[in-house]
Amino acid sequence: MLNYSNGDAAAFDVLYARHKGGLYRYLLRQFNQPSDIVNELFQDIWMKLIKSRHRYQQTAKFTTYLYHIAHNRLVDYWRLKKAEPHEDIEQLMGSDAEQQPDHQLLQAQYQRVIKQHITALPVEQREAFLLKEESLLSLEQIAEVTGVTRETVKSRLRYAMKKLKQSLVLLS
Amino acid sequence: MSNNELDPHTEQKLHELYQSVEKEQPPNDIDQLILTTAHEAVKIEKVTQLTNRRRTWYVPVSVAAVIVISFSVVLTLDIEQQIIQPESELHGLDAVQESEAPMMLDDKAASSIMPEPVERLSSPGAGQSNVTQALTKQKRQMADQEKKQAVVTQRNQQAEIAASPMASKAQLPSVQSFSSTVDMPVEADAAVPSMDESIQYMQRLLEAEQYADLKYEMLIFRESHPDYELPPALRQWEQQMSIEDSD
Repeated sequence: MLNYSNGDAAAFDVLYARHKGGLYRYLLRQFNQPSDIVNELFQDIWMKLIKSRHRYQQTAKFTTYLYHIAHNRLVDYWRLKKAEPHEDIEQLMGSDAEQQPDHQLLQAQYQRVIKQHITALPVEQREAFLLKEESLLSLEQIAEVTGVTRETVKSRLRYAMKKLKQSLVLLS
Repeated sequence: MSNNELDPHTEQKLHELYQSVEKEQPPNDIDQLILTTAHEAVKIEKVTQLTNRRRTWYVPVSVAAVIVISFSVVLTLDIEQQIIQPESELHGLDAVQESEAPMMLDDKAASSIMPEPVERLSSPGAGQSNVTQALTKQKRQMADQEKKQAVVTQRNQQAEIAASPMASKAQLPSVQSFSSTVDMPVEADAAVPSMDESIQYMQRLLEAEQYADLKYEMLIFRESHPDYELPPALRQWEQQMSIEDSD
């Protein structure tokens, strides 16, 4: 990022290639399905990063910096919308429970269910889980990105895991 | 283990399950848009930096130019001041020398009145009021010097005439009335000039139309040679003078 802020355009290509997937999925999992909003938010975050490239200081990991921007953008979005995409877990589970258990089919169902249940998690728990899984941030880094303490992050993660486990148990 | 805590096995299983989920990627058009924007931003920044660098070039150069010009103007004025000061000091010294020993002023002193600074001051670059004043002052001083030179020459001639043996017989005319530029032949050893020399001197005075001096010389000559027949021109002038005196 420092190279890019010093005028090396190729450095941005490397950064983008490294982080675009994780960030896109982090945003995508916030919603039930791919939508224009995800693309819009994704684009906004990278544009903001490009504009504020001279303000970047190497005090934290770049991933933390990038997801901090993403977190703030999401908070702004939810605040503007004043509603969270919250679907009933039981309703989601019901639609999958009727599927026949073939091994590959079961695996595919697990994947689909977990995606749906991630989307159904409360926003704080979902964000903590996605930051851990997509950006591979530590508890301390997630706490820095979301602006809470490490213990709060740990608690949110615990609740998220518990709910996801319950959904998988119900499916099996 | 409390109810709120998960066993590492479950956590690992969830992790593996999530990682096995399809890895979606952003659309290619968004990729291209973001990458193009990032590259353009850098290009614009470079162009802006170049422009700013060109703009900032003017400021230090202008400041440096102002400093250099100011310094050279101050230096020039200082040098002019130094030139004018010694000249006035020399002028004052000349006045003292003239009052104490007028005969000491010679060509060397006159030539030491700064011909070089006059050339330097009259150069095209020094077209300022101070330079003009200095030039005027120098011209005036040179004119004064020439006058002084003329007076000194006149005094020298007067002194030479006063030292001649013929002058001892009569009273010398005043400096103002005596303005002859004809050299009087004076021999170092001879106390009285010969008759031929006196006649030649009078002829030169007549040619130079210095009639007052000629009259004076004629009176002295007639005292020693009352009956001598002068050359025609001098004789004619003597007769004309005697008629005018009798009138």
